[in-house]
Amino acid sequence: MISFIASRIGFAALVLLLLSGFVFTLFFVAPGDPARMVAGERATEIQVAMVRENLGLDRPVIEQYVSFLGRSLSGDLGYSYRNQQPVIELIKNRMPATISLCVGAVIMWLCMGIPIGIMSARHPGSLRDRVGQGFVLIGVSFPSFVLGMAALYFLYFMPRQAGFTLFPPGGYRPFLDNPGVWAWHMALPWFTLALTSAAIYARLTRGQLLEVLGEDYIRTARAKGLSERKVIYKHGVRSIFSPLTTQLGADIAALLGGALVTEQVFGLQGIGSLAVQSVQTQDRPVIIGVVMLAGFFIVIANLIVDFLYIVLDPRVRG
Amino acid sequence: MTVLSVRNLNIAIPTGDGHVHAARDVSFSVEAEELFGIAGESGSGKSVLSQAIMGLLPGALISGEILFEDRDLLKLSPREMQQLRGNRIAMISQDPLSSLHPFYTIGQQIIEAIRTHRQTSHEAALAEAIDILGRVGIHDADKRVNDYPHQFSGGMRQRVMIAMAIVLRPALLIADEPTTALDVTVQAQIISLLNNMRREFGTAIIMVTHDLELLSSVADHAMVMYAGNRMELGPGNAVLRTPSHPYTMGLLQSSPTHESRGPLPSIPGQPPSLLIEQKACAFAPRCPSVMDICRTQRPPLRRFDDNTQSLCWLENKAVRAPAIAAAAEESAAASKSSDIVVSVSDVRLAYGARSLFSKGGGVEVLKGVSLELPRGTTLGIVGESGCGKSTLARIIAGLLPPTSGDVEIEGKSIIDLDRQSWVEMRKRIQMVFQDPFGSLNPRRRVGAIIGDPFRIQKVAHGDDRKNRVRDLMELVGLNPEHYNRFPSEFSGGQRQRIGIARALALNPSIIIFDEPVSALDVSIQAQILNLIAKLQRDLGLSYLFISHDLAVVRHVSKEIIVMQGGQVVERGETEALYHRPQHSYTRELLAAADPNYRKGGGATAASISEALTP
Repeated sequence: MISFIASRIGFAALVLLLLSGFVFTLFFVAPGDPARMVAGERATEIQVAMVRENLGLDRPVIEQYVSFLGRSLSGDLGYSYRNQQPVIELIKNRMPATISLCVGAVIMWLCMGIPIGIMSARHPGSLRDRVGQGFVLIGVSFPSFVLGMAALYFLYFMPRQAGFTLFPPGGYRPFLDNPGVWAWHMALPWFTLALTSAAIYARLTRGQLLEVLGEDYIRTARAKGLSERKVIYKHGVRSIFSPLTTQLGADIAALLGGALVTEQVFGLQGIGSLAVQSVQTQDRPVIIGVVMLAGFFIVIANLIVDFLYIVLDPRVRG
Repeated sequence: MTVLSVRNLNIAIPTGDGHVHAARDVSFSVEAEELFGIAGESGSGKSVLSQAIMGLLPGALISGEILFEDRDLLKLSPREMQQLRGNRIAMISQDPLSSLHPFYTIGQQIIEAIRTHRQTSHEAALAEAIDILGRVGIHDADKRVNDYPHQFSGGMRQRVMIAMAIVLRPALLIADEPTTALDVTVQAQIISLLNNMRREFGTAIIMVTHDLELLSSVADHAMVMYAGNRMELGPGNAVLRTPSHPYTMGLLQSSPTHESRGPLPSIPGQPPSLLIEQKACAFAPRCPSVMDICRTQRPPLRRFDDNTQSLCWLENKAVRAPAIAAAAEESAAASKSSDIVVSVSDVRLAYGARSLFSKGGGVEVLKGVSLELPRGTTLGIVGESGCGKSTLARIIAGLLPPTSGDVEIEGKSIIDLDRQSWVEMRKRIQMVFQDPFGSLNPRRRVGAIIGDPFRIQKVAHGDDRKNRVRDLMELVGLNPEHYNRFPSEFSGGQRQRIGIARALALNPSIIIFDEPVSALDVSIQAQILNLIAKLQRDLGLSYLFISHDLAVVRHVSKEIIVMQGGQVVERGETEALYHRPQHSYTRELLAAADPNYRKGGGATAASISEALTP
C-alpha cells in the first residue's frame, strides 16, 4: 500500500520533470529570437546582445535549463517578455477565475449528470428514461461556444430587452467580496462548461448502473429483502463510483481547454485567456508557466483519482 | 408440514421475440426439513421457477398458485413479498464469486440482512453474524467478519452465502446450482453443510441443479424439468435410480459415470425453443420410445407404484437403452504403434511480479511437469482449478514459453523455434477450448472461422477451401448448408463442433482439449464426447484431454495424470488409477466426484461419504 502510494507520487514527479524538459526544449527549437522580442523592433544589435546577456540566453542550454529548474522550485518562473511582470504574479491574478469556473463546473455536471443517469437506469425504456436520453443527445450535440452564446442571448440579452437583469453578461467578482454575487456571475459560465460533460456523465452513469444492476450481487441484495431504494443506492450506485472516478480524472485533465473557450465568451480574466494572449505574443516565459501549472494540476488530479480508487475499491487495497 | 405448495404454475416471460414459456402447469410441494431437488438442463425453466418463488421476476406473466405458509405469494403486494424475502424464504445462487458485493465486508452484508428484518442493535447483529459464520465453518469468524469477499476462496464465499441465507432461520432455502462453480472436493463439503443446516434449523431446501448424480445422494424428493414441463416427480431415489420417464433415463445414461466405456447413449437433437406453444409432448422429437400419439397430443400424467409421477404416454417405466457394443474396437488400431508424439520433460513456469518501482517474488505455476503421449491414445489431465493444467496445455501447444524444460512434438523440440518451423509445428498440434461462446468470433461467419487455418497457412484457395470446409462440417456432424451463418445462430454443442472442425482443418496429429464439454448440458456433452472418440478412431489422432470432471476423463482416457499445485501427483492406466489410487489427493478427488466410489474408498473418502449420506 505505502509502496503503491510512494510509486504514484514518484511517477507524478517524473511526469512533471519530463514535461518541464519538453516545454523548455520547445522554447529553444521554436523560430524567433527571444532577446530581439524583449528588446523591441527598433533596438540595435548591441542592445539585443545586452538583453541576451541579461536574460542568460547566451549560456549553454543545459545550464539555462538547470537554473530554470532551480528557480521554478523556489517559485520563480521568470518575467513576461511583454510587460516585464513576474510570471508567477500574472498566474496568481488569473487563478481565482479559472479555479472558480472549473471547480464549479465539475460540481455542477456531477450534480446534473449522475442523478439523470440513475433515473434513466432505474426505469430503462420508460418516459423518464427517454427524457433523460434526450437531454444527453442535446447536451453532447452543443459545442460550448454555441451554448455560451445561446445562454447569453436567452438569459442575459432577452431579459435585458424586457427591462430586467436575470444574469450578468460576464466578468469575475471575487468570492471573498460577496459569495452571492460571485455565484451569480459564475452561473452562466458554469452551465456552459458543464452541460456537455453532464450529458456524458448521464450516459456513463446509465450504462454502468444498468450493467451493475444485472450483477449477481444485486440479485442477492433483492433476495435479502432490501427495499428497492437500498438496492439501487447502497448496492448499485456504490459500484459505479470507480468507473466515474476514472472518467473524472481524464476529464479534469481536459478541462482547461474547455475553460479557455468559456472564459473568452464571458470575458473572464482567467488562465485560459492568459494562455491565448501569451501564445499570440510569443511570450515564452508565460507559456511555460501556464503549461507547467496545467501539468501540475493534471498530475495532482490523477494522484487524487488513484487514491480515491484505493478508498473506493477494497480489491485494489489488496 | 407442507412449507411450500406450487399448483398449476405457468410462467411466461415477454421478450422481443414473443413469450418465453418457462414453466407450464408445474405442481409440487415441499415438506419442512426436506431437501427437494429440481433437475434439468439449461433452458428447462428450473432457475426461472426458483426466481418466481422469490418474487424476483418483474414483468413475467404468472398464473397458478404458490402457497407458502398458507399464503399465496402471487397475491402478495411487493411490500409484503419484500418482508418475506431473506426472512422466511432465502436464496443462495450459483456463483459465489459474483454473488457477494465486492465493496462491503462480509460482516456488513450479513448484518444488513439481519437488520433489514429485525429491530436489533448493530452490536447484537454483529455477534449473530460471527456466530453464524462459525457454524458454517469459517475459522476465526470474529476476525474474518471484517474481510472483503475477495479475501475468501470460492468455497468459503459459498459458506458465507449460506450463512447470510440462514441467519434469520428461514422456513425455505432455495439453492440455485449451489456447487456448480466449485471444485469437486469443495462441492461435497458444501452439500454436507447444507444438509447439516437443514437439520439444525429445520429449513426446507429446494436444490436446483443439472447434476443428477449430486441429487441422487441427497434429495428426498426430486422433480425433473424439460422445456418448462414437469416431466417426472417422485422420491429422490426412485426418480434418480429407476426413472419412469424416457428423458430422465436418457439424462442418467448420458452422464459418463457408469462403468461402461465406448460410445455413450446420448440423447439426439436439441432442446426445443420455449417460444413455441406446445401442443404435444415436448420431448417427442428426441425420445427413443416415441409413438405417433406423442407428436400430436399432450401426454397424460402416469402414477407408478413407487410414488413417481411421469408426464408420458408410455404405460410402463422407461427402459434402459441397450448398451452400444462398440467398446471393443476402441483404439485397437491405435495401440499397435507405440511411438511418442508429445514428450514433455521437467517443464517449469514462474511468473514474476515486477513493476517500475517495486519488485515482488515470482509465483511458480508449474513445478517440473513431465509426461508422454503415445500416438493414437488419449492422456487425461485431471486437477482442480489453479493446479496448472490449462497452463500446461498452453505450453504444449506452443502458445506460452516455459521458464525451463523441454517440449517435443513428434521428436522435435518446440522451444526456440524460428518462425518457419513454428508455423509448421502449428499444423501438427491444435487446441479446442472450453468456452464455445467466447472462443468463436461472433462477427465472422462459420465458414470463415473453420477456414481460418487454411487462410493463415496459405493452403487451399477459393472453391477448394470452401469444399474442404464443407467436408469438415460434415465430419463433425454440422449441416454444410449452414456455411454462411454466424456463431450466435448455433447452440453450445454445435459451437463446440465448430471449434473441433477448426482444429481438424490442417490434419493435425495432436489435439489438446481444454475442458471441451464442461460448459455443455449433459445430453449434449455425450454427443460431443462420442464425436471426439469417433474422430480418434477414424483419423488416428492423439489427444490430451484436460478436465476437472473425473467421470468424463475416465470415459475418454487410456492413461491419466493427476495434477495438484503445479505438480503431477499421480499417473497411471485409467482403470488402475480408479480402482487403486495411490495418492491421497487422487482418493479425495474420486470420493468427492463418484458416489459409487465411496463404498470402498480410503480414509478420506469414508469421512466425506459419511457426511454425505442422509
